[in-house]
Amino acid sequence: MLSYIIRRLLLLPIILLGVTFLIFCVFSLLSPMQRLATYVHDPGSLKSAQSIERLIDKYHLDDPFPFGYINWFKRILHFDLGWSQAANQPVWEAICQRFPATLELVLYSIIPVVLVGIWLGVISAVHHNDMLDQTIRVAAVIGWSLPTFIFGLFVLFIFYGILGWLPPCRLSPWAQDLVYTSNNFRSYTHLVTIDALLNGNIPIFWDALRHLIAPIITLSYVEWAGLLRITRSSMLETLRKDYVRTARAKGVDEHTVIHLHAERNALIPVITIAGMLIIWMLGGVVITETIFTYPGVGFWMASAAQQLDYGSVISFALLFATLMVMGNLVVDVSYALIDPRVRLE
Amino acid sequence: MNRTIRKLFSNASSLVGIVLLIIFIIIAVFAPIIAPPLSDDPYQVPRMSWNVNPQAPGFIMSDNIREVYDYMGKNVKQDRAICGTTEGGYDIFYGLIWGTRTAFKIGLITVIISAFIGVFIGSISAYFGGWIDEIIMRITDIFLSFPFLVAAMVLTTILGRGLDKVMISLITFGWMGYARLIRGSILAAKEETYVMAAKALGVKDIKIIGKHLLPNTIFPVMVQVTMNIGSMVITAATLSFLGVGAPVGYADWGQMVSFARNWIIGSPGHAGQYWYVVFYPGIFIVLFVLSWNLIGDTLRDILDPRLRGEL
Amino acid sequence: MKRNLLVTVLILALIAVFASFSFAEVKNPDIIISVIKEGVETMDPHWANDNPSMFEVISNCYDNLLNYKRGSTSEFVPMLATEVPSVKNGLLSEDGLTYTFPIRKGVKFHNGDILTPEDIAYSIKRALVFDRAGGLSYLFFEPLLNCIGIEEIACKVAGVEKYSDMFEANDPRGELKSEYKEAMSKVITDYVDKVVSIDGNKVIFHLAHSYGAFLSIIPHYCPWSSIIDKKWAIEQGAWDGKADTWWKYHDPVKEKDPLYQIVNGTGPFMLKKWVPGETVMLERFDDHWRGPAKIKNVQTKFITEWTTRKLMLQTGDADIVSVPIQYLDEVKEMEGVRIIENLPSLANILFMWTWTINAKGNSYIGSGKLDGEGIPLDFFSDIHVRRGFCYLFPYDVYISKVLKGKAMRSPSPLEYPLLGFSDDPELYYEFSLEKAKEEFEQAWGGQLWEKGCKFNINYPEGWVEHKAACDMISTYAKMINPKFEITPVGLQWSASLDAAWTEKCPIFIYKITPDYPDPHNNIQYLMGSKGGLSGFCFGEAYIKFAEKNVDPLIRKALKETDPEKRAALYKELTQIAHDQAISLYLYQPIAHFVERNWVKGWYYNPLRSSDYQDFYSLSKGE
Repeated sequence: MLSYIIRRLLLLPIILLGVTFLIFCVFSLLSPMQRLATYVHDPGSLKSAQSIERLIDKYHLDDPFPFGYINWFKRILHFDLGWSQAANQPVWEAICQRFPATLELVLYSIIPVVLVGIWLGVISAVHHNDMLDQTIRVAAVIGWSLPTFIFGLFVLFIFYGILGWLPPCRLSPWAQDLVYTSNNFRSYTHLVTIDALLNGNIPIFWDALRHLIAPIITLSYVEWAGLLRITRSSMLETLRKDYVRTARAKGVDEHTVIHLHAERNALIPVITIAGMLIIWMLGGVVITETIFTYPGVGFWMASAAQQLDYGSVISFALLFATLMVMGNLVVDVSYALIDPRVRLE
Repeated sequence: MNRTIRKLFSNASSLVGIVLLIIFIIIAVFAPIIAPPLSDDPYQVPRMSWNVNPQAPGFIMSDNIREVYDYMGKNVKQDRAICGTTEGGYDIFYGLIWGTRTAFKIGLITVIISAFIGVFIGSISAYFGGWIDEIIMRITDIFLSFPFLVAAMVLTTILGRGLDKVMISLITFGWMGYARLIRGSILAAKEETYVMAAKALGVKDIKIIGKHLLPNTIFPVMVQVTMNIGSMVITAATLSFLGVGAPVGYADWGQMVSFARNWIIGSPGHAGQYWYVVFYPGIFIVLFVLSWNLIGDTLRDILDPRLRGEL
Repeated sequence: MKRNLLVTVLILALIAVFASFSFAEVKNPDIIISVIKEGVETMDPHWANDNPSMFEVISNCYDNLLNYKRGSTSEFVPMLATEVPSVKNGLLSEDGLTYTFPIRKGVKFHNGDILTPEDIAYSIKRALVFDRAGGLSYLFFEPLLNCIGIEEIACKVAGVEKYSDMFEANDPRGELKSEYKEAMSKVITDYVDKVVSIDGNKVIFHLAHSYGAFLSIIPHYCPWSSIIDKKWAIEQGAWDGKADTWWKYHDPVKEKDPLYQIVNGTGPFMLKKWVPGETVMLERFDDHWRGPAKIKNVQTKFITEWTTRKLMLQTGDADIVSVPIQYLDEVKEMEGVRIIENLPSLANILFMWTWTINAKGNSYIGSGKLDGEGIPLDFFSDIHVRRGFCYLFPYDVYISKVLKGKAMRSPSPLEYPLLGFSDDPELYYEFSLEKAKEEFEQAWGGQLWEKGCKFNINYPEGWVEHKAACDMISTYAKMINPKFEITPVGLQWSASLDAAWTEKCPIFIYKITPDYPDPHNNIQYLMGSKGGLSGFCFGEAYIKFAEKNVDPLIRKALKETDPEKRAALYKELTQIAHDQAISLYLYQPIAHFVERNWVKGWYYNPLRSSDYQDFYSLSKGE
């Protein structure tokens, strides 16, 4: 086991190197003038003669191919991730400011995904091929066929535009004021809901939660369909197992058979997938954050990609790649730990 | 194969999917008749008006635009915007019809090419094993470690707007799933006796892969292909929504919805007055993706060995 | 069993959350919330040149020597100076070379320091030393030192070709080679130090030549001339005012700029918190010399989604919101919202053509020859081609349909109400397909008409109205002669930098805003041979033309101090722009302003546009 883990961990630097180098190659497709666009947002900056030349020199925009990457690499070794033009702050600061917001959103979203997905998946399997099963499956497929941005816009429209219940952004102005500037509010985790509880400030807790609900609904509705399918097929397979048949033959009531015997075992592969869900959602959070103007990493990435902000994109890719590798490792290991029949090669 | 097709037609949900798909195919094939093009490039959605605001369904082409078409000798048969116009005066109906062709293009081309690439890479990797397998799998891991949407956005921003550029980005970051899938299947299958026998008989590797292994392992890939056609169309629409992707005025459903985000709320008192800008393209996207998903979902159940005999 | 319990708990929690919405929403009575489209980039007045930084933050936290009379772009009133220099009161010398400003006493900075003439001298000099690439310090160099920037002076004094030659490894941010130390010190002692002097309570500017526009680059809404606190700036790590290490503080990268996220000015608001990408919070400075502001807190949020901004306005979560023209109708029927229209904005939209096109890797010109499949590189150097396009554009249809009437035609680089603006009908091209046909038939000795042409016309992505303009040119050109095939192509910002600034775009539609409200700024930028746009994008042929026909007039108008004579000279320049069809001047937008009707005290100044506010004048009440 240990050697397996170490071997997988050794892969991490290789993957990180590969990812960053690939991104760098992609950005090299740009001419120096095009790269200038990241630093010059509006032509007013170019009013004086020589501006262009000076700017290209200053930011080393016409360095020959590998030098840009080598320079960037040297800085990384000093833990200097560089400056994010899109965020107007150092990249590390941008990540520290935005990642907790996204994490909060994703962690809360797991709850409805897992609960609804598993619950409906079990029902669907138990009523296999019934009307109920068909209905649930169709509902799942429909939900999965709706593009996130359309669904998100409708949620915004109904719950904010018409009802006024769920506003965009992360906090209301009065709460933002308190959280960012007041000495009475300590940000321990930077997850506003948790911090609010730790500070004993209930109004801020509710306010933060209110702002989270709409993005949670939007983010999670796509994922629960996938989880439903996995639960369903896993449950179906378990229900055919011998020990279930035996329990039924013994006269155990159906309810106990399903929930005590079958479900427990069926959920094993499902739970491991749920762990990966968090990481997948981190990648898919771009649209949701854009629609609700939720200040997390997704939103930042959307503007960084459009502005061709090389430094931000590469750093985010590093973060994401690390999480993917670690996440995959955790899932594989826990799968092996839980089910002794699985052997890690 | 026949059994599969029979089962697809007998299952209620997949039947709905097939019917929808057939409707879309008809629309795509007969597009030039249903919505005759008014410019050299049929994918260029004609303008009904210079007005920036979307116009309601039933809007008739404004005079100064009609003058221009008359002058240029184009026969304007369709001068009514049946489904209204988007921001900038583009005819929604036309965009829906020709957008069907675009959707098929995007869906089929990206998925088939990435499946091809993925299967090729995956089977080589699984069959030859050893170092080759290691290296190829590491490269696959690297591509998998990219946040897909962000990577696609970056690539399209760099390459510029255009349908072909969108397809390139989607293919570049879409082949890995197939590679892994086929690799898993082949790794299991290559230990089978019939493969060993073929090897012992001296059959060439390529023939073994092509004639023996692939036909027996390709089914999960086919299911994946069906499911992914829908999700590729959604991703392309998402890219258009975010402002990278098909150029403005191009007949692409996602492009038309990207206009919609600013009008979806409507004026106060007339909430949702511009509903048609979102509704029509939106419903086409949903139904198109739905049809593929329904078929793919049932196909998966049919081919799932654990459920054989149940369905 | 367990699951049902969990579900019940969840449902109860949701009900509780929704129930909490019913108690009264906090209405933010002592915060004004303004929502703009883009974020603030920096707090350093000598770095900033993006509108949010300049007008939303810096103008509210820093003061200048002069201010504009409420709403005007040409009348000055004293601010940190106690009098406006003029020949009449003797503070402006007759030869136009010396401006004297007596400084107000008892003005406090946010941190308690008292304003002295030292601070003013330091602020100007730091602007000169800082001189960042792509920044606006060049506006000082022209009048004060008659050059483009401090690097030019340094090269002259040291006798080198390139500024980076004086540094180890050619890195201007690295070590200076020791042999140049003396020369570099001279840059400060002999040049920079000489532009500003202090006499008791007065600050005196010494110009290099008579400059009619000088007072326009000093006042409020010109962030580069904001007054910062010398002692505080030095403490934070900015230039120490000395001559022996100034190059270390010249043109740093943003992360090394000590003043990029801190503020200490004399303005009515202090910086409370800046969360990049989300919001800026300002709070009232109670010791402001004009008396404290009426509103205690100001919060500016950055939201790019129009839908979200609109909903915030509707629900009252935002007090002032930036509304793009095409969505103005949606806002008109909102309750509790006040809209003020017909505000002339200082932007100018025009089609520019490249008189000598760069062929390198250029896909927009087709074959590159006058054979019907492309255009030759000097296509637009023929005046009949240019005039033809000017006649073929349907100006009125465009303004009424695409812009909903919210624009006015501008005949030249000058906008209303700048000095020299004229609405003489002679200066406007009318829409006439006959005249366009005439002009095209004469172009290139009749060859153009016979063979036709094929090229691309470019517009920046995301501007729907500009795409419509390009479509109009394409459509009407085809109407005149089916052999004219012009296809609009949208460019992402990065691609447009690459194409337009390397002279590859045959025609490019463009929006400009002047940095300060004097005609010299625009005319130089759009017509001068060394202008930021005309010198870089119009091509060799234009530069030659401008050197002979335009530059001398520009210089004359600049030196002239009598406003009437200047106006006449600028009108002459406008006539040249028209006759020569230097560009296709499209329109000047008419802006509007949208706020909740409980906001009071707003007034318009075109310099800061209707998107950014002077919070000192605002208050909130029923």
